[in-house]
Amino acid sequence: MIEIYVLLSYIIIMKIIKEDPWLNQLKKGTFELTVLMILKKEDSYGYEIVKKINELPFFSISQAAIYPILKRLLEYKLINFYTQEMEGKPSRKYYSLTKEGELLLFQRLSDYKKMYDGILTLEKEL
Amino acid sequence: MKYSSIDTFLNKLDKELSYLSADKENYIAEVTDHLYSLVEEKKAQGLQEEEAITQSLNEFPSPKVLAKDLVNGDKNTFVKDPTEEIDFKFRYKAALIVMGLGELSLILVDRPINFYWIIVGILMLIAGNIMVLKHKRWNKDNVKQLLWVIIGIWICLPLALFLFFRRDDINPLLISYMVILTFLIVIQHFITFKTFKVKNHKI
Repeated sequence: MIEIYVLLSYIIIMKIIKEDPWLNQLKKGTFELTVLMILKKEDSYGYEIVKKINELPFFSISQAAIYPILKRLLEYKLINFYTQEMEGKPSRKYYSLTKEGELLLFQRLSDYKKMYDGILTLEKEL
Repeated sequence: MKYSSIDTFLNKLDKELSYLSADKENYIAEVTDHLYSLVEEKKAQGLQEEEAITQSLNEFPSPKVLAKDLVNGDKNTFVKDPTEEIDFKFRYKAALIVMGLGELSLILVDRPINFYWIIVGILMLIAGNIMVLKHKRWNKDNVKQLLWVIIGIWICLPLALFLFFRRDDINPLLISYMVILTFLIVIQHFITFKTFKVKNHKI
């Protein structure tokens, strides 16, 4: 009897979670790249960056999780920030890509494409 | 445009960051802008102001966790989600639900069943539910704990059935107790499951 309940609980939990740990790790590993790409297109701010990431297929990030990422990118001088006064609203902190950030972005994109091509090559052999 | 509960949240964040001198205002201004933008977005989606504020605040970790993350960042994993912090208080609250049902099941060992222990079990169950449902700042750890509660709830049923069928004094009163207990377990499962689904979606 107890085995049936344990099995039943396991099935229910797996159905609820619907999370693939591998996919989550993959997503997490590319957040840095995603933020740099968003800032390459145009200067942006915390809320807007989160929104843009969450609009992408497969990606999701909680609201405040962006700040440790931005802080780290700032420490590495890959991004910069400036404050803009808003009419009737709190002032807004915009982030922009630095030259170093742009160089790293192209390097990472190139690495990423090479990795992806490698996987595709293997897939074709299947 | 002023939202009192957001101001309360920001005041708490301000206190958590009180040891900072230079960057504090920067952090507060950034979080303020983020929260206000989120509330505006939710209002534009058709939510009432109060609901929009509550949902927006629920999407942020507690001021304490947020302050820690804003200042320290994450040295190791770079993209650690600050909402994963272990919340022991919530674990105790959630454990009350399973303890209540467990106690109601274990009572079947007693001959005859002690009425006062039933009251204790029901009180634990009610208190656990109230505390879990009234919990405000949900994080990933809280949601994970709900899964353990679901497992705990379902373990109570075979335990109760095992103890019930071991008895040699089964009578209509005992059968009624077992039926009510089964019903309670199923109801509790649905309450916990629904809470899990809602909170998991938000987080």
